[in-house]
Amino acid sequence: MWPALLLLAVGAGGLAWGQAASPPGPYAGSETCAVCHEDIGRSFQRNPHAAVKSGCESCHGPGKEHAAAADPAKIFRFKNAAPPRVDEQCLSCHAGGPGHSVRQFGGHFRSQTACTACHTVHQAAERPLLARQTNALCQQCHLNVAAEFTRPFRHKLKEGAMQCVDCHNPHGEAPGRPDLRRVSANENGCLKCHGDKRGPFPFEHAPVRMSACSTCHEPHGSSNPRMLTRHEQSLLCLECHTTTLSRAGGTPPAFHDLRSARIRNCTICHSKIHGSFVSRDLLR
Amino acid sequence: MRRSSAIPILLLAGLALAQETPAPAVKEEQITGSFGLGYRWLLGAGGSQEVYRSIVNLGEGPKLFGAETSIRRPGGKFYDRIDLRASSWGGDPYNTARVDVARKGAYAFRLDYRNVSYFNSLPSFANPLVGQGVLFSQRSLDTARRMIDTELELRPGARVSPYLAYYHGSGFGRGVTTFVTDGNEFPVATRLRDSTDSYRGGLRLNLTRLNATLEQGGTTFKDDQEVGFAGGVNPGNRTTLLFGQNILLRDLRQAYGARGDGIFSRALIEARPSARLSFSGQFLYSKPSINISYLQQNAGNFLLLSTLQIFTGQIDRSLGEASRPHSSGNWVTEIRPVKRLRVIQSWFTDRFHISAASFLGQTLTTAAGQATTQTAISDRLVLNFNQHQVDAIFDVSGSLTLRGGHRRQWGDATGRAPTLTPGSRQAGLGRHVALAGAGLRLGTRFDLHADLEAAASDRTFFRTDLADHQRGKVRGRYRAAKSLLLTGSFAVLNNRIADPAVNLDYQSRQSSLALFFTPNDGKRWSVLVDYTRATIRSSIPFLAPQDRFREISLYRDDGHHGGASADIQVWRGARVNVGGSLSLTAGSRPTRYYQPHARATVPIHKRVMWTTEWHWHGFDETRLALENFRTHLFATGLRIER
Repeated sequence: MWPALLLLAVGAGGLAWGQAASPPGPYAGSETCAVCHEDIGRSFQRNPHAAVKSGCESCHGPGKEHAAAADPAKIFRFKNAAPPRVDEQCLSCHAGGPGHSVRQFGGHFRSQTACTACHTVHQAAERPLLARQTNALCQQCHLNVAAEFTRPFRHKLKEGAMQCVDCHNPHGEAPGRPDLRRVSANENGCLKCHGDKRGPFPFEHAPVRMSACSTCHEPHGSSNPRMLTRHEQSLLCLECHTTTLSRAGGTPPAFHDLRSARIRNCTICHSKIHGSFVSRDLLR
Repeated sequence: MRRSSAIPILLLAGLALAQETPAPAVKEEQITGSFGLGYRWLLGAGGSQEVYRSIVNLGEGPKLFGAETSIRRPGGKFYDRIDLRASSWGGDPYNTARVDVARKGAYAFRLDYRNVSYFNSLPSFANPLVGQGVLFSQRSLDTARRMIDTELELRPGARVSPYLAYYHGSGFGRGVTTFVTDGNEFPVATRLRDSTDSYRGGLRLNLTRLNATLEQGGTTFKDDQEVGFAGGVNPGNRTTLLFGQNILLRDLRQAYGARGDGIFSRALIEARPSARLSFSGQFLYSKPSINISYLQQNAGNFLLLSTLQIFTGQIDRSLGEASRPHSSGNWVTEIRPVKRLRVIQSWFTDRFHISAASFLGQTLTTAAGQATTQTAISDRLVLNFNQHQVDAIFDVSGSLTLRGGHRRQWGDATGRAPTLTPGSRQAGLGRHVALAGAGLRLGTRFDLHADLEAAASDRTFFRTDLADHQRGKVRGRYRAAKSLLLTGSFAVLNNRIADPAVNLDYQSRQSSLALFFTPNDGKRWSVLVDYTRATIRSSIPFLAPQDRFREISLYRDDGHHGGASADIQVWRGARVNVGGSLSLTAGSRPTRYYQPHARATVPIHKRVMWTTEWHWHGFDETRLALENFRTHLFATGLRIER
């Protein structure tokens, strides 16, 4: 009697194990999907999502009904879904972590830009599953920013030295001044490359720390040398350096006679304009 | 059969049944990749080569234009994926390399290397003598920055995933700077050398409804700049006598030695207790500090304006230190009271306190002998910044979303007072911003997004900060056909500070249109065109330092920027691409910058392409013709694919 019962139990267990690959309930299994979506199924083997246990249905939801009826309406389709619904689907796995946890602060979240606006799971041209090369992808929507990179004095984006995502986090970044990627926990992201401006300096230039580099520089590109926001150094400086009650910056002493070319080039003397190790007036 | 011997047999039977399920297929290693080698010539270079190098800086010679290798080894013992990339090697100013190695579920390793050459020597920039025909920038640089960024993550995606990262950045090179004394400044040579090393490690916790990251790191920093002049007389920029004295530099040595270190910590948590509620928060802390030693020795003929004392030699020794404890935190609560509505409340704070002390010993050599003075200075800069924001996002229908919200920003800052003013200076920030937006989506063919904000401020830190401003942005996309995409955007910013002591008036407009035409997925031909019109108008009064009279700083920038690219398959896989970009600006600094290009790619073998390209860079400054340049770049090479 015992051997018979045992045979029955183990045999049944073995059958159950054997059937584990064939998904239960409303799921059809990735192999079933690949019967019709052959090209996607083939390329999917190289996709990072191929590691996900439920395969296609982990993103598209149960597909047995869709497979039986061959009806596109009976499965979740990212292409036609509203952005919040798309995000919800992706974030069910991708939420959390440093990449996405502050997404609510990001512009893409506020403008309801769906994950699939940039990422494409099936036919990615670039890593990580991007529809196009990163800069070209950003340029498709941020046309005005791309235009700034046609100016002569610019960060070397077009030359391949950097990418938009080196400074910006498309998934969102905690607000700050500026809203850029951070280095060393909470320091201005510009300092990652411009390490010599890191400080702290015994004599700081206040806007470098309190505001953003963009107070004086056009970070994407400018018609002015050194990507400055003004064509003349003295005007750029004096717009702030005019004594105004309860605001930082005061008028320079009277020997700064603007009729002299020496004085109009402020950084001739104030050469340590980003902060000085030695001089209170940023002279050395 | 005995019972004890039957059990293993039956278990084997069960296992045998189980093994009927298909086992994962063992796949072979796949290697794909490409590399492009060639030679570049500079032809017909005309105009200012210093400006060419400051803006373009591409040189002649043999080049590795780019290389890519991808290795896939499913089920590999040590790795299952290796990706290698390199671009612009062979003396080009921007070299990059990247390595990604991973084994699924075990580790992921990334290494990013960049080497950026930075040359900047514009004859008119920081040159007070340009009016006298001297074409020599007194703030020029010929430097390089190298960066290595690596990260190793263990068990990526697992419940607990530790990671380690290391970053090294260094800058080195030479340049021209100025040595400043009372009444004159002297262009002198400088040597720059700095480096930063950063280490961090942490743990990522990935649970179903909770994610957390804890990170701890440290940095070290050093900066060893040197400035020097020897062997002659440097008359400096002053062309007249100062109190009867000719201020001259005969010898100079300045040596900076800065050594810094710091720690930083980061804690991050995100929780989703239910589908209708989620929280996230971060706490960030860093505390960099620095010690400085400085030595300056100079000889010549100088004047101390405060005492009208003439001196011929100076030795300055300075010791200083500074630290910047910096804390930031944010917390976000997202609630979905009903399916179509999301309410997001966020709070953010950022605060630092820079405190510094410096000691300066100065010895002046005068006709009467040597006089030594000692000065101790302390300095500080304190900032407290806060932001609170509430947003509501309502999905009116599947195609229309409306947004609204309110942002409040406030803070205070204390810094040193302007030169010759005792005490410290305080500034404050108070700003209320109303937020609105809409998103319209009609099928997959048309979408339109609009964002608007209007703010009122009672205080700002600086005279040019955002204050009473209105900002708007509209972006639309229309896919007229499968192969035709039209996009457009319009952005506007008006900023005013009505306070009569400031009276800032700033406006900017940016209108852009783009067309992407890719019939049959661009297999035969495709066209991309974009155009942007951008204008800036800024006006703010300031006090001229020499007489305290009110003058106005006016800035105008009227820009037309565009790009075009046409890609055509001419014959059996041979393609031609022509296009380029241009930037035409009028206003305060009119410039014209043209960058047309043409490229031909011809397959000469199944896996070998011959590429030839021509680029032209033409730069004109209407008011500074001496800075114009024109350069043809011609490159040819082979691209080999596997």
